[in-house]
Amino acid sequence: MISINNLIKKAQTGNDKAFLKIFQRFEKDVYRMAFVYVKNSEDALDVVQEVAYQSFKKISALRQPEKFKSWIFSITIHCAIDLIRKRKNVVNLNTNYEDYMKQGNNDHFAEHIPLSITLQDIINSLKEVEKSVVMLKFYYDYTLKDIAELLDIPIGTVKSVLYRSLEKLRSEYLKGDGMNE
Amino acid sequence: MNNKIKEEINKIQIPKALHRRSKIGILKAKSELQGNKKRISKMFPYVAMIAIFVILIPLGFSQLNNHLQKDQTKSGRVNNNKVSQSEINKTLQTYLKTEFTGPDDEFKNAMEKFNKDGDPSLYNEYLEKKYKPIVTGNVFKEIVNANLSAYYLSLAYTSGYQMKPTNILIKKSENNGYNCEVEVEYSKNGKTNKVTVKEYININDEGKISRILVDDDGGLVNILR
Repeated sequence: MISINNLIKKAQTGNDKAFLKIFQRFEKDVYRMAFVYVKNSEDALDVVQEVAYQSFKKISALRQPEKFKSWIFSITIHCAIDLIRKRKNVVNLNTNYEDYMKQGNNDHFAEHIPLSITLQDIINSLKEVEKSVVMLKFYYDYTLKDIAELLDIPIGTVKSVLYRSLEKLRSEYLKGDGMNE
Repeated sequence: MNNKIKEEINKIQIPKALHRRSKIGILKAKSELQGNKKRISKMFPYVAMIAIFVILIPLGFSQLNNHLQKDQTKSGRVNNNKVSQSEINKTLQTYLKTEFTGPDDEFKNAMEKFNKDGDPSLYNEYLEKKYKPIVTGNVFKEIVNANLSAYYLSLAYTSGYQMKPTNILIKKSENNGYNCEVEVEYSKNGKTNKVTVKEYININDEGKISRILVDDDGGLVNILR
């Protein structure tokens, strides 16, 4: 089986079949990630197509093939948020991290996720940046350091975003049936 | 404990069209990357030829040019073959009208069958009926594999827009290439707007479309998404 690095090298010479083989390994992840942002199948498919298009067009610029997965996810997040922007016709989407930076030291927060959290809670109650951090951490098993690098934000901000996201998800659960966990 | 989130995200169903859409995106990028290379490499021989004419400029050459032009005007034929300029114009008009009209019921039914059941047969029949008679075999392959010509219709179908070309302008360029400008009217929920799409299309000696490049779509792809 050809390694992913070899496939990337081939793709960088314009070999679309090699690129399709690599992209296939990640297309479901790209789709699911997009779905969490755009909330419907048709838009998520549009995002997948756009990610495939943009990433093949730019593959020759990828200097570190070992970072392909993060690179694809980064493009996915941008394309998904771009689509949402266009739908809402809003110029500035809130990516202001200052609110999160004021959270203080969140090193000891509990990563306890409410047992009855649903997909709807994740999709509806979190902002885009919160979705990014939560998905990368709990679905794609990225470390906080890797998340910080992928999103190009400080690690302290990643922690704050994660803390706030989990608090939101907990309060969604508590709102739901008013019972303790 | 920590993977209730993973469990929930895994519940997102994967649609049958996923792999096809990945392929479409990749082939569209490939088509653009190749188009850029070909357009640049095609220009060089013509730059060289122009340079030769400019350097030499003998009377004989201009007389030869006049002779060829008279011949062309007489028969209306181009490149000493069987295709007339009016036939070429008709092919280009047909192509551009098809690309930017609709989606009609036939197209919608084909898309529905493709998306719902993963069955591309009606869709492929549609493409064959509309495009096969007027394009080369290679271009038709791109139309099928990369959704080259039905791309805007697919987007309009998904987002609920209707398109209509209100004006088509065709200008002959070098090497049987044509600069085409289409004024596309798009509407949804009673609101109507227009964009101008610019395409560069080549015609071969048999009068068939041999290459299509979308130079500028006026933002139409973003509007329709």
